[in-house]
Amino acid sequence: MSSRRKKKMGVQQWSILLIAVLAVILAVNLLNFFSSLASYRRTYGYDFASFDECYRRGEYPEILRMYEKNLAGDRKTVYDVSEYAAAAAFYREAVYCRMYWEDGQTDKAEQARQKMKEYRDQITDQKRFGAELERIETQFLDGTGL
Amino acid sequence: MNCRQCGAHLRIRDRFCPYCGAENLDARKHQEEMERYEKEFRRTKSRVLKRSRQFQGYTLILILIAVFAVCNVAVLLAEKNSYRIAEWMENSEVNRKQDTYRELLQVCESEGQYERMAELNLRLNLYQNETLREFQPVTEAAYYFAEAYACLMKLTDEHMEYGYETESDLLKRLGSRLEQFQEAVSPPTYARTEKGYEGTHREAMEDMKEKLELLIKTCAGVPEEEMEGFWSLSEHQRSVLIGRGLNADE
Repeated sequence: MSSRRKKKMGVQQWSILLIAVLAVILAVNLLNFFSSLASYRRTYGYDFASFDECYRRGEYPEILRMYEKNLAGDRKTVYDVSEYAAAAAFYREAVYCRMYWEDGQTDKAEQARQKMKEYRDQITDQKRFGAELERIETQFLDGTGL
Repeated sequence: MNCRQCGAHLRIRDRFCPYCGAENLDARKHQEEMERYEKEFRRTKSRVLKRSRQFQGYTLILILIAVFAVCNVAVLLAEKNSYRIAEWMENSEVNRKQDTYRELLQVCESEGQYERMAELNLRLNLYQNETLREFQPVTEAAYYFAEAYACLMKLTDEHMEYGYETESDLLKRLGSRLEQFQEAVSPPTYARTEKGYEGTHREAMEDMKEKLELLIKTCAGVPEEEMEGFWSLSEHQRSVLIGRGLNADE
């Protein structure tokens, strides 16, 4: 009787152990599944350091694209890199301004100049961006009279 | 039944003969059998009840194991297809917010925010939505425009670092992006929506084309006369032309 009792308890214990193992595997799989879902959304995310690195190298078109990728991937709430994007857009408008001016399309050049002002107003961190914006302005607008 | 001693008629519950007093052996045997049956019945009943309780316990355990096993298989399958599930979820979201995305794309298109158009399309697979499919050609063109613009700026702006790419790499990439841009803005051949090449989409494409031409002229220094028939050149010829313009500038 005692051995039969022992045997029965054994089966129950094994069953509970099996259920526990299955539960642990299920929890791990669920964790993996949700992290895979989350990583799909994070595919195109860039962090603050990436923006700073690009800014240091003067790669403004890349900054703009990274910013748009983050926006499309809902990363705007994680890192505030809007001033980097404004600086990149400022650069783009400066390029267009010079481009239109050289082509003789002064009205379009003036429009680009206005946009440059708008983007400049969005930048508050003068310590980081001030000198660089001045440099861009000098580089593209010198001699245009705009 | 009758008494074995006097032959009198006896009932089953009579333990002794009421006439001669002899013991009724059949009644005793009957009593013993009844007791044995009773005992066996009780034993069988308790065994059945015990088995039934055991069965209930095992059934519960088996059900639990089966549920966990099925859940595990389902989650494993879901994990293997997580990319598809995420895509499906995103497409459903795009379908729900298609009006918002349409407005956003229209604003980007009218204000010349081509980088945003390209990234939105890439990130959210907007072309999979039936009503947003008309934006596919212009967003595709916007992507190549942004790529070409980045290459041109890297080649022409001395303040920008080349990174790991050399000048010839960049020229090659620029040539390839211009070719892809040209393909993206070309009129439809077959199985492509014509709506995507008309109206505001066409205007945006023309604007991108004009900007690229002007950038090549003003930044890369390609002379006006050499820009004639620029879009009919091959990918390699375009790279060579821009490279020549850059070197002439230097």
